[in-house]
Amino acid sequence: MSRNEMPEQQAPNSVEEVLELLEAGSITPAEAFELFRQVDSVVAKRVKASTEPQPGLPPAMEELDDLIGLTSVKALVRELQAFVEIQRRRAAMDLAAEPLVLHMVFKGNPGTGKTTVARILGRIFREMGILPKGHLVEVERADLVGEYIGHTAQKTREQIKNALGGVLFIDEAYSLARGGEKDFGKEAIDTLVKAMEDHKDHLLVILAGYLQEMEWFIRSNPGLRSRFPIHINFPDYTVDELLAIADQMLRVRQYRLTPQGREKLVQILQERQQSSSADKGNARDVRNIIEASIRRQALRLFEKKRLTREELIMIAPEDIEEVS
Amino acid sequence: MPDCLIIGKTNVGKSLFLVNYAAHLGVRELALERRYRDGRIEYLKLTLTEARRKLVDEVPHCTRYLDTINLLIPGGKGKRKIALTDSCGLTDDIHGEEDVRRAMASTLARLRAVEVVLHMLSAPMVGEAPPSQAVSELDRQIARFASLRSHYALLANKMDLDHAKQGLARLQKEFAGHRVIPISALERQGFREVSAFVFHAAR
Repeated sequence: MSRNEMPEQQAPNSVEEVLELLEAGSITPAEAFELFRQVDSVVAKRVKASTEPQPGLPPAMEELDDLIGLTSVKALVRELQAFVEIQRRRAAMDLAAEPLVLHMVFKGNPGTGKTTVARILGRIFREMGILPKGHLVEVERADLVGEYIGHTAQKTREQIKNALGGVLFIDEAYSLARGGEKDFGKEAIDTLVKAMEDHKDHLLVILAGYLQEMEWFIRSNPGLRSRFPIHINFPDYTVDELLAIADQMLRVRQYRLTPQGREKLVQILQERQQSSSADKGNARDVRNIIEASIRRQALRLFEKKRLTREELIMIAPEDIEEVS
Repeated sequence: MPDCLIIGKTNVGKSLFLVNYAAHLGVRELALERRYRDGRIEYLKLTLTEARRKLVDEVPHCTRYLDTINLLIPGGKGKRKIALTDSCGLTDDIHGEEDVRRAMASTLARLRAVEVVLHMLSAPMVGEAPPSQAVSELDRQIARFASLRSHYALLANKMDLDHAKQGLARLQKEFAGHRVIPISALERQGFREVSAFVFHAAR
């Protein structure tokens, strides 16, 4: 029996039913594939319907686990989670509890996941009840340092106020010590340290920047070392990890690379890896490459009259270009 | 560990590929995990000679279950572990024997779950056939289905035989956009290209 002759009511509802039809000798293997596609598209619609509207965000920890790579970061966050929980239980039983000093230093090149992890950490700490709000305020030197005496303390206090209850993320924090003793950056650091004392339970500060610069920065400010006990290294992503990030991005958007497209991307990533720039393992650049490739694919297909589902899904090599 | 499935019509050389590819990777004894449609699992240990005798046959539908072996695929810097599964050949028509139909259902169920698909065709068969019948609806369906879900490559087997070159050219045209790897399971040709593909896909 060909599928054209198959009565409407016989249309299967599940993969298992298709397999049973095949076993029973009612359909050929080729017809089974056709029915698979029907079943899958029905299931996809059902899943889509059940997830709209979004039933809130998934627990932050899962979101962290979904990030590609970052193995040591994930392990450390789990460690912290356990530590916090046990200190709380010790306190509940009147045992001496270690004070929770969770201010951190994130060290790594641009695009290695520092901001992303900081944002998720804020949410994890909110879910754990450590931070009341868990939001992220991302600042850099220019947001903290002013132009005249007294201006810096005022600007820094303003940003700290915004971040209360959540995370103050200071990017390229080493630049605060750039100008030496007389620089206003010093004033920003002093104001920050004082605020950390005053708002012990309501503020998490993360200092972020390149590995070497951050180590120098912490070394040359002894007051910071004891106040930032947690240091996390963000290594450059490997080619495989960057490729996995690209795949994940495309999958979420229902695109796929053709085998040749994948080769082109691998080639671009490998060339970058061989360069000595700080951007060789930069996930942000990969995201930009993929987003540009989706736009290029649209441009390539735009003139065509008839398009198959596959054509709409596939990203070809000519869609992929290195972004500068 | 990523799962890799060999799929294709009957007698295109799937089982011989499994055995000779394992041999090519340095396996001396095949530790098979044999899975039946009812869920039963059997463990077998075969030498290469035994495996060729027992698994490979001229008679279609020699393979009526899913036979899986674990392999270390060499590539770039080191090796990646994969589980390679040989499956029951598929037919264009409805097969008369229930056992065979059950085995085909297992094959399709497995295809839905694997990360890497090696779709095998016989290049000389494609080369010899009249152009309009060179590629069957079934092979088109496999390619269409598998390439959207898994890492997918087409293995044009039996390149050692006559008409294979013509068959390969046709396959490359018919399946443009897919990766087509010419191999000879018998002569152990093209295995390095297969490894490169599988290593890459098995992340």
